[in-house]
Amino acid sequence: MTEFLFKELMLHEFLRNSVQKKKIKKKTSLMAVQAFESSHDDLIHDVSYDFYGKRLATCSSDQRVKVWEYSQENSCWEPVDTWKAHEGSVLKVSWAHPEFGQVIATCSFDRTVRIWEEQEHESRNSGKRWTEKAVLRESTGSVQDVEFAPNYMGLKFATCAADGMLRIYEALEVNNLAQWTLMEEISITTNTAGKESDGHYCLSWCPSRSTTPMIVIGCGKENCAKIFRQDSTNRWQAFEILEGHTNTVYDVSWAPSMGRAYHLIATASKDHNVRIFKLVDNKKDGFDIILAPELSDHSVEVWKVEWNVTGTILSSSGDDGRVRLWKCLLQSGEWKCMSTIYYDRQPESMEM
Amino acid sequence: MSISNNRLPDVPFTFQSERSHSDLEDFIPTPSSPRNNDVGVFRLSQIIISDNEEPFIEYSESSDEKQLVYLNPPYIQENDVDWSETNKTLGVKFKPNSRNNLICYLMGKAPQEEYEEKDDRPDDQVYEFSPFDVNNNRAAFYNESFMRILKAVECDKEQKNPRVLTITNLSKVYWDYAKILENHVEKLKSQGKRTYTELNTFQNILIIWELCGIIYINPKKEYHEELSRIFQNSYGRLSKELTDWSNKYLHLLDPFEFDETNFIEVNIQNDDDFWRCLRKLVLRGSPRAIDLLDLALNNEDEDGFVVEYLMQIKQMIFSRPQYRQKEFDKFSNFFREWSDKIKGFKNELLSQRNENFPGNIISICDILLGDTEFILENSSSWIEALMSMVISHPLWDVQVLSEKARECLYRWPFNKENNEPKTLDKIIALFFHRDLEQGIKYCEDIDEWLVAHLSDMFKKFELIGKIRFQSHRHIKTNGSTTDVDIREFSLLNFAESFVSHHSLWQLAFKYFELCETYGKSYIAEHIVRIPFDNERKLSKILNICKHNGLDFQAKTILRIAGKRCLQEKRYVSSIKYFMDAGDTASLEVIFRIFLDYYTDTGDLSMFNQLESVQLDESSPDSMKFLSRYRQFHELMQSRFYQKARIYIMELIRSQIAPTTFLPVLVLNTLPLFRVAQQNNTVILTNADNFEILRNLYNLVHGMYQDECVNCLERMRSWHTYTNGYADIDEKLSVLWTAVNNNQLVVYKYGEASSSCWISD
Repeated sequence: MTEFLFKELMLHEFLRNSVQKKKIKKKTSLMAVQAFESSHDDLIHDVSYDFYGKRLATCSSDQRVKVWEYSQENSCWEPVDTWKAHEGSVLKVSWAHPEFGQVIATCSFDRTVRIWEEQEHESRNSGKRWTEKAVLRESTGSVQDVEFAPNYMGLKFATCAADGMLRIYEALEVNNLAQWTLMEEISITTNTAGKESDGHYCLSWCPSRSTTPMIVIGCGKENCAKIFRQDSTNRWQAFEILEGHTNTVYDVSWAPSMGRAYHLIATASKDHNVRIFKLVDNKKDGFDIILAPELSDHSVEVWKVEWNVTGTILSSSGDDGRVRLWKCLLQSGEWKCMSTIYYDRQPESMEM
Repeated sequence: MSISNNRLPDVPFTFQSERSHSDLEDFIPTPSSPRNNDVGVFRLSQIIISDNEEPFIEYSESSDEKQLVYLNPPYIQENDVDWSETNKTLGVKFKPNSRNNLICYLMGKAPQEEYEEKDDRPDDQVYEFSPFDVNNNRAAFYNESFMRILKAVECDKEQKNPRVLTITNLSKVYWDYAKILENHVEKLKSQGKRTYTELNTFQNILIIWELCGIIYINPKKEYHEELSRIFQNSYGRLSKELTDWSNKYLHLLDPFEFDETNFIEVNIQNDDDFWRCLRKLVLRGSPRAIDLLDLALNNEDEDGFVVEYLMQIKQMIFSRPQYRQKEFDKFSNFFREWSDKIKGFKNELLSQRNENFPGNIISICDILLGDTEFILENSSSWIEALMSMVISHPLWDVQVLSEKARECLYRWPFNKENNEPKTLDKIIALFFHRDLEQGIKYCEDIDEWLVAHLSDMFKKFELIGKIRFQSHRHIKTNGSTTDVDIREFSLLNFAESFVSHHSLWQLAFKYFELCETYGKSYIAEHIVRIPFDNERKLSKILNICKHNGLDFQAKTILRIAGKRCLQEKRYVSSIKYFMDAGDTASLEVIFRIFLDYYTDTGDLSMFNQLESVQLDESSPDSMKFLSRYRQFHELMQSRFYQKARIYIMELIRSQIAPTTFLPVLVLNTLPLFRVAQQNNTVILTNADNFEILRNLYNLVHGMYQDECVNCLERMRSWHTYTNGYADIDEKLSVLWTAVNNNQLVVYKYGEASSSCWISD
């Protein structure tokens, strides 16, 4: 028996050594990286893919929004149009589902949300291809996030603003983008004083069609994220708090469920950690919330988290200038960093 | 060299872990930049997940091992920038229809209004990372291999068959896979150097596939009695097949080349190179050992006793027993006799005085006798040692093989310089060790096809099952666990990479359909994101939805198609899609577009498009209205006035049309009054009269006054004498009169007299 155990250990040692110490030529998925200059005059705040991933929208502190389209012919991203969208920094951009047409929502430091629709008859890069359909001015603080709801809910979007309010708008006539009804206006924070300085609110819709509509809101300096859902009277209420953060929550992302029996929500925080919350629908009026061990590899402020299309890979990025990709190990259920992408300067001696 | 445009060529790099640059040579463009400091690189560092609790962090240190991606313009100016002191940080977004396409971008943390310091230069680059497309050379192979997986599914489903027959059929499928892999390797070989990487990958796949087939697929012990008829004796078969496998692939796993011309004039007694070469060939069981001995025997200068010994050695190698489907007992006796002969010969040699020459021959005897110590000492790799032992012990069974494989592994000095285990070594070791799940996991480093199809076959042979997915122990947990099916996980992973492929996307969904637990969810998530730009592709997408009972997704796709057609003013297609999607709201929009167009132009040509729209009782009212309205005008032109009357009155009474269109409908009755008046008869009945009068009153004096004014204003533009129309106001007053007159006529003649001579 002892000999057998010894042998087992030896074998694992061999395998471990073979992974740890040697430079193994691993065949992995090759990737291409393609850079393109956005030509914004100031910092970009958000980049958003359209539904099919064939288009990109970028928004910036230069108050402009740009839409890009991938050209198969030239194998590059080409600008479709650029326009001045707001009177302040444009902070977020979100595409509506294509069943509602080519529609974009933007939110800004100028306290407005604007809805834009593409006019296919206008020529590209004319500055007229995207026309403003609506300006929503309910917010009394900068609007920090905007996101269209999953299409099964109709043409709806949610915003959260520095005034500490979550707002949900709906186009009751999906073909009339000029008319938006403010369906809900809920206070995100319990602390009513100094909402403006509480900033860093962010949101993510629950993409699952099989549950009650839900949104997770990053509550910034309240050091938590809250889940809001529609109750039986169709009113939106906060019903779960995702705790454990020790500093500002910068970003939240709700994973596609893909038929799983639980939900996954990731948060990025100023406390240097990425957190993954597993929500199991066991209770009558709420979830069992399981917090996976903090992912602290960044060791600096983490600003962004996002799930891939199947909710199997989580990306995070932050002040270390690195993108980390996290995957759940089959055997242990632990989340491990599977890859890191980062910038490094080329040695100066490199021949040009 | 400067780059004038802001677009860079695609530069490949490794996404998950490091790899040799040699296989990227074909497509890495020369990096170029106008300035040295304008060039940045992305480097990937890899944390390799192991079985142990702690991840191994492997950073490439020497420059030649870096994964370099040259970006221009620069990402950031300085390498040592402290981002926490700036308003910049890194953002990342995944592409919505691909598993691992992503973009990185430099983003502002706060709006510029909140951040006082202005950066010198906004480094606003966006970098898109995307996996290379599935190699198009593989399309045919993938299609062919999919046919095999379907066959395997069929075999597995045939419940009527006894298990032994199912296993036999599945074995056939397994070896069919091997055949198509072999064919593909041959095809790649014929394509020359440009497919070197691909050839290497497929050779590795084939090596693993065949090895697993030999060890696991054929000798299913629980069916041994029945299968013995098919596979003969599994003991001898294992050695025989592994020997064949070794002869086929050992040169790939552990290359060994020698030049025979070096040994033409050899002094056998003292030439170490000759003996080293001969030992190697005998170790590998290579038939070339005989050739080399013949070469030496042809050297006439050799002493007589040398030639005699060489002849004996040649004879022993030549007569080395190999299992050829003989009776087990007969073969066993034959093998024992052969071994005894070698032992005798060895003892004879041991008594020789010459230290060098017999020593070399004794070493050959040791190899032939399968001396573990000697073989391990003289082999260049653990796999060569193992194969040498397998060749020398044709009666080993799977269990002994596994133990001997372990022994080779444990005793092999892997830390020796330049003798590091390769990925393939590791995988082969795991399969010999019978650790299938780990083996499959490490196959990810070879190719996802291998992982998916190997796990599918292993599952069907009941060699692997489910992995218990345990929530982490440090966290608040209710002890819930989830079973993860390795087969399904691997198939989903493999198929997902095709979803964004221009031609193989359908295959992805066929694979998803083979996954019982999560397949439907994957189809539902991905199918709506397949871009379509023609009806054929749309129809294929909808068929997939239909086949999998995904109504919601089908309707979503139809609405997207309808909306797109609407934007392109292809109304008929749009109507068809919206009708199929049951989207009455969008149909209402088209309905109003048609009515508005007629109100503004008086042109009916747009309505002619409706001819191709098939309507029935369950069709939306708005579409039935448009169709009826078109038919009304056709009937008027064809002078079917009675039927036209029925249609127009139906349309007025239905109240489907918006009030803005009501004046048009009411005015459409005027020609009927005129016809009736000209022919001195009754077309519109008393009830019709009353309905028209009521609407006229509402429009002119009542609740619809504003809509009426608006509508008449729009109609005024085309109601000109040059167009052949009377002035709209005049028309309205004529209608008033006509209604009143008609009332008198109806009163005078009664309704029954109508249509007695009006054609209908």
